[in-house]
Amino acid sequence: MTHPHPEPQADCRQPRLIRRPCRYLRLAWALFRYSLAREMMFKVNFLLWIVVEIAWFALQWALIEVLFHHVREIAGWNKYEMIILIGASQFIQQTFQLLFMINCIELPENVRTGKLDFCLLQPANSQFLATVRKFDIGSIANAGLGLAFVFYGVWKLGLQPSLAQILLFFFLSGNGVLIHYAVMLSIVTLSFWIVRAHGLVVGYYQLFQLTRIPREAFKGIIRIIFTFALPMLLVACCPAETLTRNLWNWNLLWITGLTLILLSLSAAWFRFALRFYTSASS
Amino acid sequence: MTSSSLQHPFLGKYLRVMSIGFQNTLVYRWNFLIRAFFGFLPLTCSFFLWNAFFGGDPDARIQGYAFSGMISYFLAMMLLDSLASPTEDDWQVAGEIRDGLISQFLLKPIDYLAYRFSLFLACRLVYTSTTILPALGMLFFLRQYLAFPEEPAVWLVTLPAVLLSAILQFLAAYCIALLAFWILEIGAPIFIIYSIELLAGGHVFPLDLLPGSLYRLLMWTPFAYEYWFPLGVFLGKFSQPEIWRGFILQITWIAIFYLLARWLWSRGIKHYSAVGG
Repeated sequence: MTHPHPEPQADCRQPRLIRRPCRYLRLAWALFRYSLAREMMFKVNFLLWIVVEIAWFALQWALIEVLFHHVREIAGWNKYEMIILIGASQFIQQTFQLLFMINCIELPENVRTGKLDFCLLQPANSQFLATVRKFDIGSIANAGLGLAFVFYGVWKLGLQPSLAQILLFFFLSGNGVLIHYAVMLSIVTLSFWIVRAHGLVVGYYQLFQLTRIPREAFKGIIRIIFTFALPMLLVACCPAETLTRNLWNWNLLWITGLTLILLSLSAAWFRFALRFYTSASS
Repeated sequence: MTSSSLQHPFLGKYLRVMSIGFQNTLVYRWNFLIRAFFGFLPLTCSFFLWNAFFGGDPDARIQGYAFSGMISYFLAMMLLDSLASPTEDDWQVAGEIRDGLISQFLLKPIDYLAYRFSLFLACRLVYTSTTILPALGMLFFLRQYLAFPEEPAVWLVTLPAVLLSAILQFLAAYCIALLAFWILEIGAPIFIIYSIELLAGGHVFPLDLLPGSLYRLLMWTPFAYEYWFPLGVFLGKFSQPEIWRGFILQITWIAIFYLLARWLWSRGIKHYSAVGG
């Protein structure tokens, strides 16, 4: 069957450096539309899962309300700074969930049952197909809820962030999403050796809790590990501090550098693990 | 488990189920160990968050709690979780209903509720025994913050409270899972109810940090008897009359959930279409 609208010729004349990302963006867009169509088949379920995320976020909010009912400051953060922190944490986690989460959760099961074959046989990057296949569309609403809490905190504190601060907030949030991705991918990649690795996914959720607490609260070796090795303490604290404390220093440089290192390491780890894939079903 | 106990005419079959439960759980021991390992992260978070809450001052007291009292609360919660909280039982029950696997239980002289309860007990015993060493390590590491009771009487009263909490948590999870007779995907309802249980049951913070009226209201709900009541008994938060009243309410809620479970099962079976065979 001939395609009525052939690919624009301009694409072919673009350099490879641009053509490749463009191809993957088009692929991601097609997969996004497919996910949307799937979600809309079960609308009630779709809405219920949004409620689930709201309920879990409400737990965090209730904790903040109860804590600040008794004290004025926790680790140098006041109530509305903490609300900005949990809002930023929610925004980042939900954006991660929108893009990568379901695929990472399904990876252990796909390895166990041999369904990963489908990702490996397609003419595209295996890591891309294994981790950017299904989009969790409902997360858009909950990422919005996180942002609303950030705005609420900023408004209550009477802050007037500059355009540069706002852009930096979104840049660092994007960075946080990529840190989540690198950490989660590294964890679930263990499933190439460990059968039925549902515990790995639960482990990620436990790690994620660290992002909602001010990094100043942590001390000693735990703070060092979760700042430099598994930088969960930077994921939401840095974007939040951009708004509340105008964070503009050398920290930014190494956070970005660290994210790139983690991404490269997790990709190398995934490629290494693929060698041990035995395709259980066939 | 001795072979003579397995041959007991009534208990035998449920002890056999427990034995299978042990073996099933141990097949995937890596999964188990990973869960146990990561299970300590929430405690680490609690430790640092509450330390910051008390301003790093070990003598500061807020609402009757010192930092050590708060850490004891969350350590005891960790032990209670491993002893009494269902992990995947609700998902498994819902899965068996959805996939039509319960048909076999309708044909056999085996009670499904008792069958699931045996599996729950086996899973809790394996989980507790695999986590006991790391848990003891954690208790040793944090021993300076421990404010566990010294009187044997308190431990004696705590024991039935924990056992009843396990039964209540199991029955609540079982009732929610039985909704699978009517709703195809019950993942979302499970999580919504679970989040309410955690908040209203005292899993996120001790319930007596709440304003008085809200606290009194929650003490009438089943949630308070899943986590807060056994922990409160253990840490000496209740007077003697309050403990008796608590036991009465805990048993009442168990009876209500038991009847609800039986009722949901009998209604659900009529609705059941044995998908897949």
